[in-house]
Amino acid sequence: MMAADGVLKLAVPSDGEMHEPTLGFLRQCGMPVARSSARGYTAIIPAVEDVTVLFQRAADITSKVEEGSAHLGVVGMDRYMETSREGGESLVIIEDLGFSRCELAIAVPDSWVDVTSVADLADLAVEFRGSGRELRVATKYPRMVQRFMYQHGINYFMLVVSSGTLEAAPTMGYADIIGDLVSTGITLRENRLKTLEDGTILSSQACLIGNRTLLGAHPGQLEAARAVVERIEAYLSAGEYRRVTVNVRGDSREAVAAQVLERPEVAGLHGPTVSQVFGPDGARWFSVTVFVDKDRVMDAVDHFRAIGGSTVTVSQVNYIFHSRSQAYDALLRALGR
Amino acid sequence: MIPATPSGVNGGKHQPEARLKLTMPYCTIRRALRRGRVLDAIRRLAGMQDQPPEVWARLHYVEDELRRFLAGYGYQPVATSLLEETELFLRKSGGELAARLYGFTDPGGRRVSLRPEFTSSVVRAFIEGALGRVLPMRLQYAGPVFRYEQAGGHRQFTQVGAELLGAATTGADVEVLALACHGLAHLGITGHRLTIGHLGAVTHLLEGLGLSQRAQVFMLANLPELKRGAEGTAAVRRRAAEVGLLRERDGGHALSRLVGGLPDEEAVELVQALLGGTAPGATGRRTHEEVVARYLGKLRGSDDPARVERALELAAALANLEGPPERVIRDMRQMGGEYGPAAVEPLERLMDALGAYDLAGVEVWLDLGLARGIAYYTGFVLEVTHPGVPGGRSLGGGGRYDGLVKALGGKSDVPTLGFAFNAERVAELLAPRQRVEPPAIVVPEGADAMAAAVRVADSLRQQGTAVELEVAGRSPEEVLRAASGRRVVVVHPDGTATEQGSEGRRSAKAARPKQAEERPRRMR
Repeated sequence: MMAADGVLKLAVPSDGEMHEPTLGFLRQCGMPVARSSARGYTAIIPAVEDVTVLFQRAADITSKVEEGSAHLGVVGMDRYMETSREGGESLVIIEDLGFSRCELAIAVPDSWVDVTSVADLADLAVEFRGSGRELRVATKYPRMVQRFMYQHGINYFMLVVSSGTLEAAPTMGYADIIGDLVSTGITLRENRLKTLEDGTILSSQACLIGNRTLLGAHPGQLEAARAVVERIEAYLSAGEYRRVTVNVRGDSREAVAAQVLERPEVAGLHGPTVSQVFGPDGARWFSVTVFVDKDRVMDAVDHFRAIGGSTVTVSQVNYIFHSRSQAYDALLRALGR
Repeated sequence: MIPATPSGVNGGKHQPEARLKLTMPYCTIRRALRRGRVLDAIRRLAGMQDQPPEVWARLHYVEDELRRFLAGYGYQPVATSLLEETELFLRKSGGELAARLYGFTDPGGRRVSLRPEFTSSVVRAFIEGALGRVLPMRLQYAGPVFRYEQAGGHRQFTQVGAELLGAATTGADVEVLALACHGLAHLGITGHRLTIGHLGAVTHLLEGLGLSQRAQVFMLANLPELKRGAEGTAAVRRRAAEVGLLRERDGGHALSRLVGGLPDEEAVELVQALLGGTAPGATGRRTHEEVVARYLGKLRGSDDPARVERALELAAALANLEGPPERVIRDMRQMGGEYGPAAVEPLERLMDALGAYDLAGVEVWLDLGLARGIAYYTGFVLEVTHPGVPGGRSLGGGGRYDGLVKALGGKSDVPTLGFAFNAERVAELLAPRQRVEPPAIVVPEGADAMAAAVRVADSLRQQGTAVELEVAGRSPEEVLRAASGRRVVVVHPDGTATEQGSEGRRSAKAARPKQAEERPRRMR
């Protein structure tokens, strides 16, 4: 890569609940971030050339990527949806990094036994209107909350945009209901609030975003982006699979393979690897290795027992690189390549 | 932002300060330009269109012709403001359109929106007395409307439409239906389909089943979903359960039977006892009593589930009933059982009356599932489509909305109906229009001839010829090479002029300019 082409800038949260998980995630993807001092605003990823990590406030990452101060960014989908400009420069490259999961949802006082669904809220909003009041919704996400309310037929409401702790708003009386992040529901319960059956605005998790113009303009930076995207994708797809190894007694490699293939769904991505084991007792044993979907591990164990397998070992896989990176191919398509 | 030249904005390590913000003051911009920087280009907003001359000409031809056509039926042009209080549109429309409003808070702190359609504004102006008071009143309008459609859709388009206030008869209904058809025929468009639905007829059948007002509104609002067949019906059934129309969960059904037979006071007591006391402040800005009262209302107000189930089946059957008028009317009469004859009666009257108009070349289609997504229609609804419009999107639509005047604060009920065309979509069915006659070009032969050229150009304009004066500094030869088939008048430094065009050289004075055609020829 040519120095003139500059380096790829990856913005990650420097504060808040996503800071540690993001660094942990990059480490697990094989890209540990080396920060020269805990206070520095930049760092490098020794494993990938030409990448600079920029530490930015979580709230600013979307706009940093949109305005072109960073090529890539790790940000919560909730913040991205709230702050990204429609038709702007940013695009989502990988939407499910699998951490910092939470839901943006509507919550109402627990004691409102008459309100269980969004349709009830619509009804209530009309009733409020009739008595000269307006349903007040406190939120940090005015754009998404407003759109959600309108889409669900709630036309009469007032947004109270607040950045403090929202859960207390109904008790304190400055709002009737809230639109906020829920990760465990404990905070809601402590504040005597409840969610609605159909009141989820967005199921959010961390995602990888990028600036389309910057990535499209410099082949060297795009190449660096490919390295980052591919490693993340390989880590994410590895999480979906387990390596299962078992010793099976049999007559030949072909015969053992045929037995394993009787159940193709647990016979590996492309089929089993079968190799002979040379035991001291002269018996014919074969070692079988397959990669199976993590939800099918027990099926695989059952199957191997049924065909005469001895001890089954199951291990994690660190990375799976497929023949092509789907996320990178999708990125190229989005860039019009 | 547009990628700059390689040495420009995106060039490596100077990037953060080199990337110029659009909000910077103009002196900063000038400094940047002096340094030879390339600024980001500002692009058209998503969903907005720019119109080159021939597209503009076509759109305005459509607008002018439709206006002329509506005037022939006595519809008087009016204008209303582009900006209204958001409340106006919220009150009229369902949440679906409300979510697509271009709304903002104005500097005075009012919540305002660009209009997403004209009807509410026209009715508002009527209620205020701004448009006169003599009924019946026929009004027409044309202008841009704004809707924040999903990415890819047009967010500004032109509506040309008509409102008829103060006429409750079937004769008024068919006049509006005929306007929608004949307006297109006036532009030379044929082969369109007029789809007619009737919310009055559907409501009549639902009322016949003894359904509550709330349940009726629910069924009407879900007609489009029911049109999707078994899958849609299942989704609507789920939704009915969610809003408490079909009680399937949390024992509400037994409780509602229980409180149903009790006098009010005892019912309140019972519900309060079941709920237990709540800590003060826990109900937020509502009182405990308000919560109990609404809960009780919900328990008591729910319809008999068997009846809702029957209504759901009937509504699903109606939603999927469409075809030629005779067949649809026959099927509907059978479907409605004892209520059938009364329910089809308005439709039969409509079709009879429509027979008085010549609708040759138009396919008339009844579709009882046509709901047009807006909550305020009460009688017939119409939609016009054409096979030439991609995606089956409509060229226009409308219907009867008798409750609207009162809903917007009018004191008395004034029956109201109308329709509007999407002028851009109509225009796309026509070929782009060329200018009737391109302007002549007057070229000074050198800078010395400029003053004389201005005089020649002016005298030609006085004779009614459109004239462009060559001010870009091109020589007569360059202009002649570029202007194929146009009149070119060369003015010499001595003040004389010679004309050169497709017919060769001649004297400018001798050439009497032809009168430009007053009206564009009709296309197709």
